[in-house]
Amino acid sequence: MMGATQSYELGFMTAPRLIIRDLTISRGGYPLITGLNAQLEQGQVMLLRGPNGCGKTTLLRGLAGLIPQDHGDFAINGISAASDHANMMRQLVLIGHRNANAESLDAYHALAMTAGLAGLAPSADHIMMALETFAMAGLAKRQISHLSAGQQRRLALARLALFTAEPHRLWLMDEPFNALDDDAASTLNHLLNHHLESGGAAVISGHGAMPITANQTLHLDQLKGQTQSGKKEDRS
Amino acid sequence: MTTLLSIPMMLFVHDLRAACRYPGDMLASVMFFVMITTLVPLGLGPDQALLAQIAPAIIWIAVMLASLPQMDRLYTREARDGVLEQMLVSPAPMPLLMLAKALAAWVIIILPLILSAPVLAVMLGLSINGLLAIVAFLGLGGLCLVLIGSMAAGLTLGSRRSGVFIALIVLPLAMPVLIFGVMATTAVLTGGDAIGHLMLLAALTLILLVLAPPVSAAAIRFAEE
Repeated sequence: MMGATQSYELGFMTAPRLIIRDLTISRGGYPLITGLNAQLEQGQVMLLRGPNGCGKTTLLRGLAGLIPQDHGDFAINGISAASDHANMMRQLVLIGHRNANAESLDAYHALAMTAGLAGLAPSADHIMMALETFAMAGLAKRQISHLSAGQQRRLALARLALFTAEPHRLWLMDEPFNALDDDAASTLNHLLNHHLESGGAAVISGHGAMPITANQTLHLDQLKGQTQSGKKEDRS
Repeated sequence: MTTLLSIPMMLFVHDLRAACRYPGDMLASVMFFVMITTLVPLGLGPDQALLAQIAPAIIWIAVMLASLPQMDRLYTREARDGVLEQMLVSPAPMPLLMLAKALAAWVIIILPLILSAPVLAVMLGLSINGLLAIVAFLGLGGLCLVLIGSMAAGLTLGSRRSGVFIALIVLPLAMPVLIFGVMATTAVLTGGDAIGHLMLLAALTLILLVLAPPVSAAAIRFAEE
């Protein structure tokens, strides 16, 4: 397993985890992200900050290939969506605003499903270990709809513990610290640090105080200038 | 290469597992199906010859109507909880994931209806031959229905009155399925040649197997944008 991962890594040794070139993404006809240039190396974190509706989620979803860009380009580990869509999806993990826990399953199977969709095939022990990371092992058989908001968020984040063998994946996380208690936040921080020490990288959105030291911070509202007020109206 | 099939397979199994946790949904559509089929003989009176003659049409129409409410909910849960988003960022091709979901929907929505058909066939005065034919043809026609339903569910995702829209999209598209299905079943019952109609039904299924998954994948990608 480790050998395979390492040889996989070698090919991308020189490529930065993320390169964004002149990226413009629009929502509802208004450009939210305009002419963005950025680069993220191994072991680095990029924080996305700004008020509601400034484009944090749009940028994250754009980087996950969910929203097409108007122009410009980006590549994760040197792979762009245009060149090899399936391969680019293997270069990222998306923790979206929605938790992606299948409502009609129990916690164990919901985690197995999201991991499976990402191309992993974790063993039962591995899944239980991931649940235990966020103190969810006791709730493995509990149905998703019977979990609290914070527990559902912890379950979504427990997915990250299954990706430790694939540190080349760029973590795209939309406000991951929301609805988390202190213990869960420090667990997430621990997982993130481990990911970064293994050569991984992450793009994280949020506002307020976050227990992360960022290598780069993008203030999205300052990037765009005058069209901002029009966009806010569009989003509300 | 293995993920090409293993991820859709995994999704298929998880969909069945989720459906088994809510047997009530399945039971409700079976009851609805039985209800429609029971109303016809009650309304028409005990004319066995007439009933046997229109039995295929009644059963086919009842299957279409009973499956509609379930088609409406095909992706609403996944859209709400964000599973569709994770499907879109999966390395597996989205059309294959949609095909897996359609096949799971066939097992969850159509199969219970087919399994309850024998009871109704007796009530409508169908012969054993007619029963076997109707079960086989419903299996094929039902696959057409869920594939059409998967397209409609994708296209109406996020619209407020999706239930009405789904009926308006599915029923016209399902007309050829109904026509060939009923004609093939009637042909078997009257000792005629069913092969021609069956071939057309099979051709329709093949076309939908190729066409429906990419269409619903594109519709969902657009809805999730």
